[in-house]
Amino acid sequence: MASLSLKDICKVYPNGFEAVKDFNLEIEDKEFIIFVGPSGCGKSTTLRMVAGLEEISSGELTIDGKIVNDVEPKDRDIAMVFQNYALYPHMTVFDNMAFGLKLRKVPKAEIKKKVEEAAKILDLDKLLDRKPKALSGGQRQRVAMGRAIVREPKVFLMDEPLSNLDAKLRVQMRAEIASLHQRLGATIIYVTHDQVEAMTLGTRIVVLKDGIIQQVDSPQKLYNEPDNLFVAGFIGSPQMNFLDAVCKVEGEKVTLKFGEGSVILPPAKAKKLIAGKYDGKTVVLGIRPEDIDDSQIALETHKESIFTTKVTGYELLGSEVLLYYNINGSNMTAKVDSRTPARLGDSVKLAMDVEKIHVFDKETELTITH
Amino acid sequence: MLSNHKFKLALEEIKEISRNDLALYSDKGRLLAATYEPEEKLQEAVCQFADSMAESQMLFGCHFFKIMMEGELEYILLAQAGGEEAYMIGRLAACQIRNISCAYREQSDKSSFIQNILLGNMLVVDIYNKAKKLHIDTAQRVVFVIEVSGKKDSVVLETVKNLSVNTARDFVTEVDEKSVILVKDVRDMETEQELMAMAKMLADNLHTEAMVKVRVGYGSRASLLPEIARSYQEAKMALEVGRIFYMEKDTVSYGNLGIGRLIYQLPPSLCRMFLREVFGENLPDALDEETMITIHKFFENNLNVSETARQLYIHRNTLVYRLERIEKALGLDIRKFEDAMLFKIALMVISHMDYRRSADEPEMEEIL
Repeated sequence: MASLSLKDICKVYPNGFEAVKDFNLEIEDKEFIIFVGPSGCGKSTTLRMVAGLEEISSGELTIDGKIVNDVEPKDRDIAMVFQNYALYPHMTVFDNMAFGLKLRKVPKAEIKKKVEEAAKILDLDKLLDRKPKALSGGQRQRVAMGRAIVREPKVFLMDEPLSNLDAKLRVQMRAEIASLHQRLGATIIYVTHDQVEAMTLGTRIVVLKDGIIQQVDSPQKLYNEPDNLFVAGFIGSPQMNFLDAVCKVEGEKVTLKFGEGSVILPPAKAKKLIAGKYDGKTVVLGIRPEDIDDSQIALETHKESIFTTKVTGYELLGSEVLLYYNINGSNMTAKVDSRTPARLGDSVKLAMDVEKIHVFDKETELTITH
Repeated sequence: MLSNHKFKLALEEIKEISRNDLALYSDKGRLLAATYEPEEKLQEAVCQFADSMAESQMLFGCHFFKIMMEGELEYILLAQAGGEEAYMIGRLAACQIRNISCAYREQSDKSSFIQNILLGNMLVVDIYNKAKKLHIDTAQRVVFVIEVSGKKDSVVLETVKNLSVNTARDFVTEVDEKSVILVKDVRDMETEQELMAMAKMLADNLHTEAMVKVRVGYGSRASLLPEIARSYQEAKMALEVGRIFYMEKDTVSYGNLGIGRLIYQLPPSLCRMFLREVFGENLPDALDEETMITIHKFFENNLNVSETARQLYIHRNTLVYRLERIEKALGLDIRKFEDAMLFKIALMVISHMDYRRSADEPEMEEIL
């Protein structure tokens, strides 16, 4: 397997459109790294530049220390799994996996060995004689993975490989890809727009927007310590609540006021706002739905951050309930215990866990404290 | 011409079943394939047998068989050993070789037939007669042109052939060094989305399997065989127009080219006149990269100032200042729809002119 280095990588199309800007990233050997971001953020373009399917406008791409900017895709020792895969309908599973090797005139014995090894890894060894139409969706996807595995590449590149599968199968395949990474010990770059997929699969996640890296971190850190408003909003489902609030500093006490409500920030967070001279300025308060609660314990623990609101939406998820409400013109969500007595149209008291509050600069959208 | 390798594979397979050695010669006595090393003197015997009236004969301990195609001698097959069993195996092998050749000839006939239709080399009446002979029925078809960047190798053709679900209804062929053509029967693909999915599937699979950068263009539906040529021309135009205006896309549909198609067909003189009318002498070459990015982002966000400023990480007032600067330089206030449309079309015309210029330059160099 291999390590990769992307230095100052840019992609500018002839019409002036900049798809990727100053992309800098070091990918360790055996790492499972995810590129995530909304559609058009440049994640697939970056992957295609690594693959050699897209020319690099400027910057340097190295695989195992060797610059590969001008190396042909087939000579880069990589394998790809793309979204719109298709199996050869008239070929057996064995032949489907062997096809690429046959075209490259790999000796028969070697092909057999490689296909059988890959089939064993993918638990396809009993299906090698079957045709694609006799396979389930998950098995077909595994065959597509098998076609990449038999190449024994240094790096696997996967561009939304699960997006054509139904929700149930996607969950199943997600687990299979994770275990495949363990078994192969491979370096994998995986592109997705689905943040759940990113959070569950990656050892590190690269969040992209408009061709610019927003943050590179572990799933846990991205969730708990987002660098900016975009990352905070993109990672997490339902997404983080945002609220414009005015910062008021009184000595060492910092209060964020929003409409009728207000919260007093804990000292560690307050210090950052004082240091940044935010007194009197409007900032963005961010809080995740699960950090807003209507339980008696929460109301007693966070007395300084209680506010009353009217429930405008109620969604029972099973063990939890999503309550929708509005504060100062902003639509908000709270994820509370399903035993809550609150129902649609009720007036409820909710409390924010002030330790979990994030504050962002309204102008730069960068995190002030989390 | 069918490769000798294919004959060798067939003979070896028959030998594996029958344990009888076999050899295949051309009608001129040249050894094409064999499962053993035949003696050199056999070559002369093969030539004599070819000239004889006999259809099969026993010579030098081998059974000789003539393989005829449409009344013409094509090959001579030798089955080693002289027994009754060897005779039967020889006949079966001759039958197999004839069938392989027939299938290949038919396929190759179909391929050249489709090539002739694509290039407009056939009269309509000939198209229907030949199609009847080759058992090609009338169906709705779409031509997909797969353009390969760099050197095209056989992997691309083989991959596309194997991806075609119904080879009896679909045709895969080549007419130049840069592309592979798929004439796809689309009876069961009713929507534009399905055609686009097909194009994307071709691109993704070629990227994965052949590991070459490809772009796929496709034309509109052709209900009659002569219309295939039109669909082919449209697919080529889709690729050409896509290269100018939609560089980031690797699948382009003729039906979705939009205003790009219109601009592509404008003559250079008209383009120059239009640009002079819009910009006077101040062509937007003079605009710096930052300004061009701002304009593109502003258009992407449907002329929404706040959203564009947010996405560019600049203050709203900074964006307004930049837009005013553009107005001063070009005389177009792109915050207004009319001016924005004019500017967008002008930018596309410039891209078109630049592309034509760069396409003409290598040609001029070649002439010089």
